[in-house]
Amino acid sequence: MQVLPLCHPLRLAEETATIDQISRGRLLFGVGRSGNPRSYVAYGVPYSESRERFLETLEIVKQAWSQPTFSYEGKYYSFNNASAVPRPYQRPFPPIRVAAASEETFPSLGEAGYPIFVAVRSGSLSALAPDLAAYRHAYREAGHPGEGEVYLRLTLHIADTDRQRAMKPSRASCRATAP
Amino acid sequence: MSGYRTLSTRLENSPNRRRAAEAETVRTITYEEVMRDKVIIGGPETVSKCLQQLHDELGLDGILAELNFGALIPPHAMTRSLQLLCETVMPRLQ
Repeated sequence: MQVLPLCHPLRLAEETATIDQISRGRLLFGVGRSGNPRSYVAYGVPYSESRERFLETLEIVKQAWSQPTFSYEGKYYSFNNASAVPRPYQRPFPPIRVAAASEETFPSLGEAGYPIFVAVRSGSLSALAPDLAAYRHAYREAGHPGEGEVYLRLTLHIADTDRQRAMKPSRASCRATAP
Repeated sequence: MSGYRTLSTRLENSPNRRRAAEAETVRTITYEEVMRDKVIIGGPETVSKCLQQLHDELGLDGILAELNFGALIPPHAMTRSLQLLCETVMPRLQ
């Protein structure tokens, strides 16, 4: 999982392509903006630029992966006849999954047609339903094939029996479902 | 629970409005609330049932299992959890 606004796109394209090569095409490229502004402070990048920088970096990585040489004129980066070496094992490039947390991110990623991954931190698992519906609606409206793809980052622990499962007993054996 | 305590300090500073507003919720969250709303924990049968229910409800294409959130699960228990996930739970869901 890479925080794109804090990465140099060409360097990132080369490093991830190297992983894809040595794993013979097993790279799943997970990307996001991160909700933690502390790392932005450390890198000296204003968080307010994160969305723009994210989109620009992702576009450059895709071009660097898929073209022998490319040129790009952006707000933050410009490249003239640059080439990334090596190119990825997977063609045209590895699958990309984007982390989604902000309300406005779900429909915009649906519209752009990216698979997403989500996590539950402060809310409940059931409360993800409206965000996922907004993502899928935007995905269909934009005419992409299928329903989109959703992956859930989930805290999971499996013990041999239910009795062993927790240090502290609890009556709930399964989380509550939405009313 | 230690993972949630750490998380609450990160949420407080979040530029994401939704997250910042929820920092207080996370800071005061109880064990029962975590068990009910956020995690799936149990023997293979319970976990398979909960994952299937979650899939029916949300239509998931996959999960990224977080096997040691909070970094307090002993290594042998985490390894056993992963083994049960791969050998017992996953075959039931495919």
